[in-house]
Amino acid sequence: MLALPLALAALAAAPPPPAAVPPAPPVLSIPYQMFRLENGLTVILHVDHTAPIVGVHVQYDVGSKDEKPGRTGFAHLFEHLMFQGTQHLPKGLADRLLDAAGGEGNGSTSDDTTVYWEQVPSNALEQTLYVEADRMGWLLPTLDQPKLDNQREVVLNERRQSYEMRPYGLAFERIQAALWNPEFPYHWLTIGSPADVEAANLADVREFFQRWYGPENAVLAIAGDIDPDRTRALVEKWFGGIPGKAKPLHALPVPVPLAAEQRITMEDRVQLPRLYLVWQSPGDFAPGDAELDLLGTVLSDGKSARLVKRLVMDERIAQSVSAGQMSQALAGMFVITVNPKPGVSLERLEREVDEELARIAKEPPTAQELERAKNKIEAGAVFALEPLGGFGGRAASLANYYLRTGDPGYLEKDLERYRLATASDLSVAARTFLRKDARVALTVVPRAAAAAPAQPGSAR
Amino acid sequence: MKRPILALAVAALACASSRSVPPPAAATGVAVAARPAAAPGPDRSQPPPLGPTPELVLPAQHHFVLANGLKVRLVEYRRLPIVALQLVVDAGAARDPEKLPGLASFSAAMLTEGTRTRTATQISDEAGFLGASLSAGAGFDAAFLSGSVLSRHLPRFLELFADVAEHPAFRTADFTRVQDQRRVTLIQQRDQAQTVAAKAFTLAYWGDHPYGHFAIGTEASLAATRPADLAAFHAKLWQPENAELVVVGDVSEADLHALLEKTFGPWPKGPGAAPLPPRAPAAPHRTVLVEKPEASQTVLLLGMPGVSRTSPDYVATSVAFEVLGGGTSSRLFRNLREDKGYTYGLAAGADARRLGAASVIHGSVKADVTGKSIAEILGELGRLRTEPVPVEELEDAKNALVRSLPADFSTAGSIAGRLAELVIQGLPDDYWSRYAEEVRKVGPDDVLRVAKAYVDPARATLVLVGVTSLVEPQLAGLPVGAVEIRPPPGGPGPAKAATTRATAPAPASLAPAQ
Repeated sequence: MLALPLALAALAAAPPPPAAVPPAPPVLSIPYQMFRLENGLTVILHVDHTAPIVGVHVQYDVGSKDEKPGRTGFAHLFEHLMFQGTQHLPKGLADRLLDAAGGEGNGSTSDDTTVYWEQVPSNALEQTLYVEADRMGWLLPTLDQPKLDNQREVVLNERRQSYEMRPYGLAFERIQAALWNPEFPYHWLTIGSPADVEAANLADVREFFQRWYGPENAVLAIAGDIDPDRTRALVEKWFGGIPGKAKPLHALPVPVPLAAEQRITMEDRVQLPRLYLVWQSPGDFAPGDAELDLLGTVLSDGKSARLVKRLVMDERIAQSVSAGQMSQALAGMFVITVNPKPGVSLERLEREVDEELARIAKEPPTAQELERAKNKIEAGAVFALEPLGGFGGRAASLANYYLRTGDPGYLEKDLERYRLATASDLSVAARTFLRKDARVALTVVPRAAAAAPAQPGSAR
Repeated sequence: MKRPILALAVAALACASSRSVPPPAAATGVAVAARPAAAPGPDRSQPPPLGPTPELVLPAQHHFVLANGLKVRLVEYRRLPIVALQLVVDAGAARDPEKLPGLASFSAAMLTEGTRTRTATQISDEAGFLGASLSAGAGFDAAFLSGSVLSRHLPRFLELFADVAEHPAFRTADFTRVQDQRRVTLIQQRDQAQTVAAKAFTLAYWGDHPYGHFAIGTEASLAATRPADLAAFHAKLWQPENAELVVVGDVSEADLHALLEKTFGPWPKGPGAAPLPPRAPAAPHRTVLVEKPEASQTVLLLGMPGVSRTSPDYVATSVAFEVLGGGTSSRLFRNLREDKGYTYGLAAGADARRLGAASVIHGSVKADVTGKSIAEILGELGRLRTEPVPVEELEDAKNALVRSLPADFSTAGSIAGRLAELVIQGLPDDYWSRYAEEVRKVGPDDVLRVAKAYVDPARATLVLVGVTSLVEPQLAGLPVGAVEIRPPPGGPGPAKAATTRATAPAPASLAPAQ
């Protein structure tokens, strides 16, 4: 499924008919214009004057998938350094300008991509473009060892807070290491290993910036209360002087399929065990991606969803269960997570999950189940259109679709995949991708209980 | 959309809640970029100035009352074909009986678990078919039923929404299922260091105040609760006189009024409930240490007697908190994260509720610098109380509060949230416009005055969750009151930690997980 929330622009909403029978969904689109500067920067503009605010979104086509083993966590550490000041903005000034303007902003790094966004009152548009341009063009002159040392500590604290201190927080480190071969870059977490983060040095930082952070490798999307002509002129003014170069090439590694089920047990400081079943699955927009997304909805979204109904509602042997497709650029993962009730064996839960998977692989979901899943996705797409800026707003949608597909307006085509999927397509996807002999089964057990010999583990 | 659980798993690392802002200083040394030199362009030595501040236009609220007394406030907001609904009921956890903490939250949670004419599964399926969201829960000051729906489905959705609010069935089978889920949630909460900290703080700081228990209850109260208790609580407090419905989105007043008379009209009138009186928190000057084995960080939660939401001092206090720990340019971020590297982020804010308030600072710090972090925090509190905030820093903080208002009113959901806040706190319609005016009047002396009153480390209750043997020695010499090591608080409760913009766990207090 979509790496970003399926953002649909339902602009120009037609007056809703007050009928009891739901009419067909409105056609959703985010109107935009796109142009490219001479230095290669791709710019996408979307106008919405409803509120005097603007979302500014700069997305670089680089993520932790572009790292090398031994240098993990670097793309994310680098993202932190982008907030440490530039040649014309001493450390902290950009944050101060943003706060004082009444704006908000953040950055994030994933396996595939890195984003920097601000949402500001429209009178702060030029200032925001100035700040983002300075990051793109003038980061290195003032980047020094103290800044690197400081953010290395911050990132290690982020890892502690978001992974080590969180119950089951390191499960995906084990899962991804087992699911993907060591050379395949989803093998490690974006946050990286502490040792690698410790080892990052200024030379790495400079090389990374020079390779990946030019205008040719970026998309700038601006959505909201803007005048397109003036905005274009401002973009030319502040970004036009940043030199471009040839667009860097990405390695496009192909994962090695699992040859057998990988069974792993890990301990954690938790009260209750947890079961994860994880498969390699199709990447963004690849055949099977939308079908698996719908399948995850049929299995676990709502009280009558297959796994929820059986494990949580009827037999009451699970506290909760989730199933879903997480697709990314190079490949996807289909993930089922089960939290057992105290005293219920994970073996039983796994067996019953497998029975439900076998059932849906054989008998397609009912028309009702499929329609409900599709309606949820359609409606979710409309709600996702609300924000202009932020991680999942309209600016993010335009930029992300452009990077993924070359078409900022791909949303409607994206949705079309879901509309076209049939019930038997879902069964085919289950049969094709969710094979018992090619998955990772990770059991997280409470530390004390783990003293007993665990199931044979074969993490690779 | 979709599956936050999965999104969390892989997902992006938000660099979130952090980064700070030092004052403009001279640019530091120059290194060399290998990239070709930039062409001469505009003067980059100064940031371009802001344009004229857009006028603050907040959406108009239309009020009407149904025949049975149910108050409705509507904001027509037609940017997208959606409608957000929030039924705010004076049936929050502050009204929990002493013997059955958790009753308000449990009652609310049962609303979507079956009505007289719909099973739990039918409710879920119906909402799912419409692509709508529907959830219920309780914080301390109010209980909520919330929903959002495409406007073309509003008539059908309102039938469901009203049925759920008015006719929950509390059937035994559903009751025992949810009861067990809440019990397991309590067990799971023992693993969550931030929840443990919030609970320990709730007990220590609020004491025997109506807020001094866990909204989710305890394992004992959960086991003692019967379906009849929930039904009686609902019958007594979930009634039109005691509620207000907030609606924001793509619907006219006339259409909405007609739909509501049809769906909520039959809800029988009741006597309402007398308001609860405000009370002072226990607020002992004390430090509570809770063991979290092998914790690489210490979760820190510090609270002091705070300002009431309706106090004239509230506005100046929000300015003070903006300076102290509001955004990435605030003092706590600059100092503890961007200078020292002790933390991924810290926040400060006023947790001002109807019956009492706390000034709160919270975050996680690396375990071996827990003492140093507390010393820095106390230093920042002291500075705020003794030194006037420099004019430029003060202006920045005031501007941040005022200029960010339009964005807070730019989605149907966020507008509904702001309106619900007015309902709960009993604030006037023009509150946010007046707030902006009041913020502009705040001067350095006002900040100094409110900091002395509401940010007083000598009256602080401090909770630390981490490796006690490592943390306790670091407290030597710090003015943090008597230090006591306590076992993890028993029953759970999505206790409310603080309300600051970025990090507050506010939704957790409204909708306890089950």
